[in-house]
Amino acid sequence: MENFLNIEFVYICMKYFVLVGISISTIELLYNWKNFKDDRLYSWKVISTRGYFSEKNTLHKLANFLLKYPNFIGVIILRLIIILLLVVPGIWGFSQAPLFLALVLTSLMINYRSPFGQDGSDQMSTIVIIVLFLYHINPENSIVAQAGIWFIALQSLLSYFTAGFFKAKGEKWTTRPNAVFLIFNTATYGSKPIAGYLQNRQMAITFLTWSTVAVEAAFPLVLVTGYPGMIVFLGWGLTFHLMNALVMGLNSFLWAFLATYGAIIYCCLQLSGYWIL
Amino acid sequence: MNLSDIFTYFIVGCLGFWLLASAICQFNILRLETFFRRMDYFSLLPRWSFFAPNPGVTDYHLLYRDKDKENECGRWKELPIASKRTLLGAIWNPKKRSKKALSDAVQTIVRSSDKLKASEFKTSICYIALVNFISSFPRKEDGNTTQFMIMESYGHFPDKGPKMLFRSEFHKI
Repeated sequence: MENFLNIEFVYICMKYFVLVGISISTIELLYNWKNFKDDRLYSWKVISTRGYFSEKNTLHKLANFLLKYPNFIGVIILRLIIILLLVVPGIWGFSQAPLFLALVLTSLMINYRSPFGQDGSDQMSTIVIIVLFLYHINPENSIVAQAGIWFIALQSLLSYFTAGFFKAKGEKWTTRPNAVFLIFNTATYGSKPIAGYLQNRQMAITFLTWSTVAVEAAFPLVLVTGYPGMIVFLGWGLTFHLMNALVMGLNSFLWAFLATYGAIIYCCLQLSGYWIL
Repeated sequence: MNLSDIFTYFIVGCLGFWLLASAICQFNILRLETFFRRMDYFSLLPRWSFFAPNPGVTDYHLLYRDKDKENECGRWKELPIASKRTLLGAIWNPKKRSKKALSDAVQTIVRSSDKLKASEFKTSICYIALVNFISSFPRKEDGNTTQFMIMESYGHFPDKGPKMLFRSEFHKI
């Protein structure tokens, strides 16, 4: 556990978890390459009509060149090559900052190109990659390194707290606690066997629904629990994301959120040092 | 103060501002969410309210049909939005992306059809993207126009029948 007080170790954990997640999602994007053709859902001809930037703008011309089909497929392949350079040791002997900068840019392009179909894991991955880039500009800068870790930890805790807070305002999560069954009952995010199992087990549904709300809303308390108290929250988080991957098919959330856990542990251990003093 | 210090303060300030803006956008503090989101071209301000406060408890269905040159309507055909869940999907789930995109587009049309005037939501990205997508399917016969419909159903164990939510006009293919 003391390893997590080492800033470099925290960033290494963050890097490998997020790279596993984005390599899967990048290969998934490539697998769906046809979606980016002009007669498909992600038609650049349609999406580019949002017109955020003037057509005379250089940025618009550059975006148009990189994001139109088939050039955009090249951007996705480039992203995969960058990931390989970062993952396989010994291939890239220079600073990792330029590679992370390229990853940041490809993430921003994918986000801009996808006005629909993105999810929270894509957003968390982008946040983590930007912080990894800032850290690698000068890994000796301990202030930036620590600020990055605190930023990631607080974004992650904000995400759990926000989800819990808004669930606590929903009738299906609190006064009529059947949200978990209703979600699992859908074909979009659920599973027929699980919904069938839960169908007449109101106690189990209530427990799953209320515990989701309670632990998510209380998750920021992980910062003051110290070790081994933090294991309760982080263990719950790991189980929660594993279940969501298995039952709901939300595979990328697992890696994106696990990438933030090293930062949470670091901040928790830092704070517990203050409590002891 | 040297360049390195300026860089440090700048980065720390940016991260602090980003975190603050993220928190503001979750809870719409001081009603500033719209202000920030309008400038968020690259989805850097997250939406963390997963499945809350009202979780999606229905399945959307996207159907389309064509009308030929004799004004005869064909049968409705469904474009599946949900995919079958598998154990492998916990690691590798490529269909999730296109299904989520379709689902997001459909939900946005349903929501905006209640709130906006027809002329406004029919020029929205989601509406045009769907019409463009549906028009591109290979057809045995030359259809003149096509129309889509959005329905909702109530899961694997429904307590009521499916309901129509939205039907588009016919659009030229």
